[in-house]
Order: sequence, then C-alpha cells, then structure tokens
Amino acid sequence: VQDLLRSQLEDAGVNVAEVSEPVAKLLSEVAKTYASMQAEQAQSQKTIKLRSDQLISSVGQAYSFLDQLHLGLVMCDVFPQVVLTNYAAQSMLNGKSGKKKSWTLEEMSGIIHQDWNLADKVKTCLREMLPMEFKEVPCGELVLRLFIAPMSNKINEVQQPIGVIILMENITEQAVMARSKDEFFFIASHELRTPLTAIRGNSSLILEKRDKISADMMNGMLHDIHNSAVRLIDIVNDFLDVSALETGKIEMRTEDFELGDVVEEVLRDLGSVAADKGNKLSADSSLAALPLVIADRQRTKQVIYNLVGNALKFTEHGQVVVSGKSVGSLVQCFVQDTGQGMSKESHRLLFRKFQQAGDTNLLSRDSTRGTGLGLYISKLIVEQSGGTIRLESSEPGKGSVFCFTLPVAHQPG
Amino acid sequence: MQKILIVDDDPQMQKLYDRIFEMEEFQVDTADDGRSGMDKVRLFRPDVILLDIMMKNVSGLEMLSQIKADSASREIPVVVLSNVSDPKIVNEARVKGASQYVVKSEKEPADMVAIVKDVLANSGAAGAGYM
Repeated sequence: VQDLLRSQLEDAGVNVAEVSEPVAKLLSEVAKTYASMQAEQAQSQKTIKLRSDQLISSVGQAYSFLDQLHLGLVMCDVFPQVVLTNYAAQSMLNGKSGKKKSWTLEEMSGIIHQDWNLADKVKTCLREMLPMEFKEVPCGELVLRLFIAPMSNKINEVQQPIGVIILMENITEQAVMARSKDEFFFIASHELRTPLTAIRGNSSLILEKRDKISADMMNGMLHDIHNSAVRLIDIVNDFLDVSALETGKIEMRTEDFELGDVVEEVLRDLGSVAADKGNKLSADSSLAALPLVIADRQRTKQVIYNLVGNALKFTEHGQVVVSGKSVGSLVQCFVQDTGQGMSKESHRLLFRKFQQAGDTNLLSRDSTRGTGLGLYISKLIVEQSGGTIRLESSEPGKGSVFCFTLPVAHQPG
Repeated sequence: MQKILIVDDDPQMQKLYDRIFEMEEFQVDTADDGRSGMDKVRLFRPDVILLDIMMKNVSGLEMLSQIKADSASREIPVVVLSNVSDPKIVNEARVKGASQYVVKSEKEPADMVAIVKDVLANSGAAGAGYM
C-alpha cells in the first residue's frame, strides 16, 4: 500500500522526499489501519459463515420437523402464493400414486373438492385476518379437517399480514366409521322393516278379508309371506356375519380342499337362477389343475356364492365363468361375467359396508338388490383366510372380473 | 271408481298395496321407479299416489318434486310411504308437498285404506298431516 501511494503521489508531481517523514508516518498509519481492517474482515467472514451454517442447519431442522408432522402444512405468502408444503400435505394431495411436490393454490383447489375453493378461503382468511375451520372436506379418497389461519408480523408497531398457514388433518377413518354407523341404522331399519311389512300386511289381509280372497291370490300372499321370511333370515344372517367377522368371533375351520369342488357345488345351487335370466354358467377346466387350498371350506363357498350370485344379478342372456390359476403359494380364483359392468367411480367403494355399485345416495338404493354387505363379508372372510379379494377389471356394458386368492395347502413331505 | 298409483321398487310391497286397494275396489296401477312413475302419472291420471322414498334411478323425493312442479299433476295428493323414519326426510317430503308421510311397517292394511280415503276426502284442502 505504501509503495502504491508513493508512486501515485509522484505521478501527481509531489516531491516525495520533501514530505517523506510526515508521509511515511501517515502511510504507516494507513497500512496499519488497512491490516487491521483486513483482519476484521476475515473475522467477519468467519462469523458470517458460522451464522449461515447455523441458519441453514436451523432451517433444515425446521423443514425436517415439519416433514415429520402427521398434520399436513401449507404456507402461503400475502399474494397468496404457496411457499411451503410439508411431506404430510404432499402425500394427502398426491393420493396413492402421485409424486408431485409443489402445487399452486388453484391446483390444490382442483384436488380438494370441486365445490370447495381453497384459494377463495385463503383469500378470505387474509382479508379478514381471522382463522377458519372446516370439519369435513373431501379430498380425492380422503376426508380432511382443514384449519386456515392468518400469519402476521409487527412492522413499525403495526401488525402486518405476512401470509396464511393451512393445516390439514386426515380424518378419513373417523369419517368412514361415523358414516357407516349412521348408514347401519338407516339401512338396517329399512332392510328389516320391508319384509316385516310384507308379512304383517299380507297376514293381516288374510285374517280380515279371507272371504274376499281368491285361491290364486291366497297362493300369492302365502308365497310373499314365505319369501319375506326367507329374506329376513338372509338379512339377519348377513348382519350377524358382519358383526362376528368384524370382531373376530368367527372361528375359521381350516382344512385342505379342492377349490374346483366348491365351485361345482355353487354352480349347482345357482343353476336355476342362471337359467331364469338366460345366462350360461360354467366352470373353466383350469380349476381341475389347481393345487389344494387351505381355508374354511364353508366360508369359501359363501364367497364364491356371493361373487357368482352378484355376477348373475347383473348379467342377462350372457355368461358367467369361474376359472383358476396357481401363482406361487397362492391360488387365484376368477369370476368373470359379460353383464352390466361398472363405471370407474363405483370401483373404489365396492368392498365397503352396505355398498351397492354405482350408489352414491342412500335414497336411491335398489332395495331389491340386497343389503350391500355381500362383498364386504367376502372381503372379511378372504382376508381372515390369508388371501385378498379385488375387482380385476370392469367396464360398463362389457362385464366385470372379480378375483380372490387363497393360500395353497402344504404338500405332505 | 277411484284411481290409485302405487310407486314402489319392492315387488312385495307393490303387490301388497295392489291387493289392499283392489279389495277396496280402487283401480290400481303400479310403477317401480320414479321415472316410469312419472309416465304413469301422465297416462293413468291417478286420483291419489302412494310413493315410496327409497327407489333406484329416480328417488321418491325427486319424483315428488316433479309431480308438484307439473301443473297437470300438482293437485294430485301424494301419500309418501317409506320404511325410513328419518325426521330430515319426513320434513323434506313435507316441504315438497306430500299430503301424508307414512312409515310402512307401522300401518295395518286397514290403516292405509283409512289414510288414503281421508287424503282423498280432503284433497284440494290446504295443509298436510303426518302419521
């Protein structure tokens, strides 16, 4: 620095020798100051680096803390643009298969519910600076509880909005439980009352108006009373099965048996039902080649009966075929029909309690189609036997294929 | 002879009410959902309608709205029948203009006849009762 100053002074026409002593002093001071500034700067840089590292580590901790939360968290700024979405929120918004990590508020609104605009709610929250809570918001297959709260900061002694925080709690399970309890009472009372009304009404008519009733009519009435009693027993059995299977009170009597034999029994039982609707009901030759399975034979028959019964219910002048396949330690059994099939929308709730395909409104249930417990009971039985049950494929107008699996029996030796 | 239309998707219920009202010498016609029910309302022109709530395709409540929205059928008294005794649904039926709401399992055939005859006698009069 001293050399630099000297050469610059000389360039400017100053006789450096004349002023050499005071300049040298000055220059020495400048040099000292410069050196101490450099030392300070180095120290500051060290401190900045340390603080930045600390900050990065704190932010990292905060992010990782937010990602550990089971509550979904979305943070928006004042514009309002999404600035942060934690892992739980990402999984809720992605559903089963998505891998997306960021969404705009509009995109989130599209996922959450078509009639429920998240972006609007966030804007309202920002405008009114008041927290809002929404108890049951459908989001794809989930039900969420949402809490939207404003965030503010004191700037120049005034609270200024800085954004909005959205908390999302997945309450699907509670919502489904609560709904199925309500539905149980609603449907159980309806399903039980209908055959009871037929029994009460017809028997009452017979008692009061016997003289006015022709032989034909009497025959019809007695048949209706009998059919209603049978229907009532079926319903009560379904309810008892559900209750026993749900609480694990049914003992599975496992034995080794041939699935093909059970299929044959079901086809014999349902032969006349198939014929009544002009359906061809058959067992594929693949069943004969299957290894023995280990499960409760009677309960397995109930599952096949349910699946074939359903297939026949939704098929007219078509075909229902039962086939099998052995895959590793499991046997797969397929029930394929050429019936009505189902829309994509009805696939997902199919194995739920009381569900009838395509049924979204309790008031438009088809009461002649049964309790809607058949597939649910089948699912409970198959799962308790160590297998799985699923809808393999279905297309409106083309038919459906259901599949369930059971474990292969251990071969002796 | 008075005409009664029975709209119920359950064949057993349909047959039961058919028998009850045929014995009372009503002219009876039946439909098994709201859609065919509306066609029957236009063609059969009943004096009274027995309407079930829980039905496939078009529910009883939807059909009730359609009956009351059409000037040709608005005046026909409708007895809503159901085995659903949910107060919300009872209220909705009341708001939509049902003359009576009956829980099927609670009534004997003779009660049903009395209710329908009563509704017919009062048809045109304002107000709805609930049994």
